[in-house]
Amino acid sequence: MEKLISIKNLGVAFNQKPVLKNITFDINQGDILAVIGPNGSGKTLLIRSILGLNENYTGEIVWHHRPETSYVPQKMAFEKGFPLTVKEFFLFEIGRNLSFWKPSLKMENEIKKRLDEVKIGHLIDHRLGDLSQGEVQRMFIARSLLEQPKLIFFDEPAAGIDISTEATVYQLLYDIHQKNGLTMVLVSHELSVVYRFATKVVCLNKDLICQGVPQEVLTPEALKEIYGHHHTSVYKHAHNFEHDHTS
Amino acid sequence: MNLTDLLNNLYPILISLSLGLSLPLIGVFAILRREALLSDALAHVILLGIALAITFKINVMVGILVFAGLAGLAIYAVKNRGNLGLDAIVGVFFTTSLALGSLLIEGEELLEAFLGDLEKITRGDVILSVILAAVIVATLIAKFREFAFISFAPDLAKVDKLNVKKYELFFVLLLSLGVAMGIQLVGTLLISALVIIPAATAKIFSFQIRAMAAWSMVFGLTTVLAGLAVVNFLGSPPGPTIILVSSAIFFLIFLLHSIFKTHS
Repeated sequence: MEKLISIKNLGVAFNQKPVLKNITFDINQGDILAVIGPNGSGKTLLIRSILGLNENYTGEIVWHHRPETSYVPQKMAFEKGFPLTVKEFFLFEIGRNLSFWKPSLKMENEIKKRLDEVKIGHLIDHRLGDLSQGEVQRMFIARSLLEQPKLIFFDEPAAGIDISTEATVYQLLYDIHQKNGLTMVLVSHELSVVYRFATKVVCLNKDLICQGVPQEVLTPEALKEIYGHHHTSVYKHAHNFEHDHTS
Repeated sequence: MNLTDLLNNLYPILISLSLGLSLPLIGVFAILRREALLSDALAHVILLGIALAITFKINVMVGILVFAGLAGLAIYAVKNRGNLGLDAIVGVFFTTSLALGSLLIEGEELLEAFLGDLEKITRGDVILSVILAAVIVATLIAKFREFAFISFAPDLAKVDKLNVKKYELFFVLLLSLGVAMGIQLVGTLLISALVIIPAATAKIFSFQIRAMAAWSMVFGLTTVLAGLAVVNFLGSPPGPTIILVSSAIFFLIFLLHSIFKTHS
């Protein structure tokens, strides 16, 4: 498979403390790559470094070519009173030149369609500050799909979304992957999701603990090394989920 | 009324229109980026420029523009380096320049620089203001999406291949130009009010950033025109008068919005 991004010997420090070290892996075209690890293991920092949003790192990040890329951050702090509607937020993406002031009907329909996919079409003219956390997260997901990107980075896309919606969100991402051959990099806490959707997993706990096909590399030993002593419950949960959905 | 009188009346109106439209539009982004007080720092650095121009007998407008440009670049450079924080930097620039400027200019000239003076405005000033205002307004409208995007979500803008740093620098320079242009009408003490108050008034009730921009210009225009009318009637200094009109509109809208909101 064609290489998209190569990460070689990456090291990142935060407040002088090393958060990531010796990270080496490739992202290939068509991968659904899951990045897993406990809180504070540097998952978000890894993604931000790859995207060029953190420039203080050692080692190498090589983009072999740069396809249309989008990013769904884990959380984005913004002022509640910021005057910006959902539609305007989408127009940042497609409202080029003066069409930000007066978007065409086609643009409005496109935005509405994307919002409908995550079931928040009715919120198009609402102010971002008036949305719930889950609605904001869904809006981010819808926005990331607006320009048919070839590569998407999702930092815990289902955080703050209730479980029934969560299944839909991952299903939606998976469907797009199947249809458009999209490459996805996914930070997730949920092993169930990783087992079900990911083609490749990268496990972090400062160091790179494991990488490869989830079913092969996520052994009980590896999980213990990633998550410490509490791993068993996570592991069991993951397998129950898998069982529920395959039976 | 002869031609000289007509021009003398027209000058303040033209300058006011230029300021009333351009400064509030800059203010929209200054407020949303939480950099509203930058205009204060800029104004006080410009005071130093005025003082030096008077001391060395060069054209005051040259002193103003040179110092506005330098101050803009300096603030941008310091802001993106080190860990001081914008408010601390603004504080340092503000007080140092104010102190130096006050030492260099004396008496009446200092008061004029602080509060603005319509009578000193020349034809050259008017032409320059109209051109600068047109450039500022046209740039902000043409690049509105970019400025709004980097103000709301700089990270996402960067992933979207926008050159965030370039637009940030661009913004500080536009702000410097705007402040430089307004110094002679409202003075260094109050110029930032014209950047901040109309945009803040528009923010009270705006849900869309486009609406906030449009309303800030409406309030800016109303403010300067009504302010000038009061100056004409009472003979009061233009700076404080225009700002007080602006504040009156702010409080009125704030009150109306509070009443309307609790009843809706």
